[in-house]
Amino acid sequence: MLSEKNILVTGSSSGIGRQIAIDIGLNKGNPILTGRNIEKLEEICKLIIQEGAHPVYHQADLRNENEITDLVMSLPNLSGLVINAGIIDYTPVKFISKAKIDDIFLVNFTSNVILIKKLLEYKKINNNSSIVFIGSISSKLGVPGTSLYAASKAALTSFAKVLAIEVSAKKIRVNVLSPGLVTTDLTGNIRDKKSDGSEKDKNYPLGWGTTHNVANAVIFLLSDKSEWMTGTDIVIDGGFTLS
Amino acid sequence: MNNISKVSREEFLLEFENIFDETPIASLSLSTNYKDLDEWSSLIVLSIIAHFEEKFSIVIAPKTIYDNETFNELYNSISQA
Ligand SMILES: NC(=O)c1ccc[n+]([C@@H]2O[C@H](COP(=O)([O-])OP(=O)(O)OC[C@H]3O[C@@H](n4cnc5c(N)ncnc54)[C@H](OP(=O)(O)O)[C@@H]3O)[C@@H](O)[C@H]2O)c1
Repeated sequence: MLSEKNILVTGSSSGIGRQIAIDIGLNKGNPILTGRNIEKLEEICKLIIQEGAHPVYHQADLRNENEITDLVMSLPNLSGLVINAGIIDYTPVKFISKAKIDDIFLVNFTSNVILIKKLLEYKKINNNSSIVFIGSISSKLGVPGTSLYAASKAALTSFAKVLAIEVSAKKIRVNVLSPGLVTTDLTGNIRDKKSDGSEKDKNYPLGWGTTHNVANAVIFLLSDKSEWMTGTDIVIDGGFTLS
Repeated sequence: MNNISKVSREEFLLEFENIFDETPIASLSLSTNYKDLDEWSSLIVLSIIAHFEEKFSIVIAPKTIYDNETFNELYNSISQA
């Protein structure tokens, strides 16, 4: 489905991004992985090579603008981009500090904007490409403690909409996928925070999501099967927002 | 040994003044069951975590808060962590 397409996936050293990179390989695309943890990146690349695909990785801390530039310069031209790197935060409003705001927004918003700006500036994104942002249903809800995380994802979602119109002349498509709870390392924490998972499960008619559920939707958005879709924000949450 | 083991139990209890809005600090003692307080909620759990992380650079697992009941027990768990 993604034959020979070079696709960069940020935050592909674990969780959802890892699965997206693997599935790109399984769909005959060439995943380009990035994250800070080089051991994990290497390990995932080996796994993808065993499946017969051709992944590469580039280590980068996206909080550092020079590292973003190095990443961009190292890249071939892309046919797809998945903006997935992100961090969660549970600071109640009363306990927010300027440093906390800066930390969360730097990873979840600013670094992504700088990365895309540079990719466009250096003409690394081919015409007819697909860009997928991983947002979150948190940006549409009012879950206590998630104000900074939710606001950073809402900012990203708004950014994606404007980007979609600006690159539409090049037939580059931009969509946001907003998942509900997906079981990964990141949500290992969430489960701890809620004493036990059972209470939450009732709110998910189809249960919590898996990284596969999200990756499947991303593959669709990266592929030509979604060629008439741009500027959308798709909720994928096992029915959580039904009630 | 962490930063909490350097504060006394009484000083530890005083830290909750910043965490509770409706509960007078004078009404609390080390043997109070914090989960019985009217103001108790998941937001208080997140507030405890945020306060101690900011002020004492320690990360308290939510489970530690849920598994204990009194401030005394919580102090013991955190200071021994
Ligand atoms: N899990 C969920 O329930 C859920 C729900 C909705 C949305 N999401 C979103 O999905 C995305 C992936 O989440 P996940 O659950 O898969 O989390 P995860 O397992 O913690 O993965 C986060 C990824 O982001 C990367 N990252 C974090 N900070 C970075 C930095 N400074 N520079 C470069 N890379 C960085 C991490 O790589 P390194 O540590 O190697 O740097 C890691 O690969 C996030 O944007 C999250 O907000 C998750």
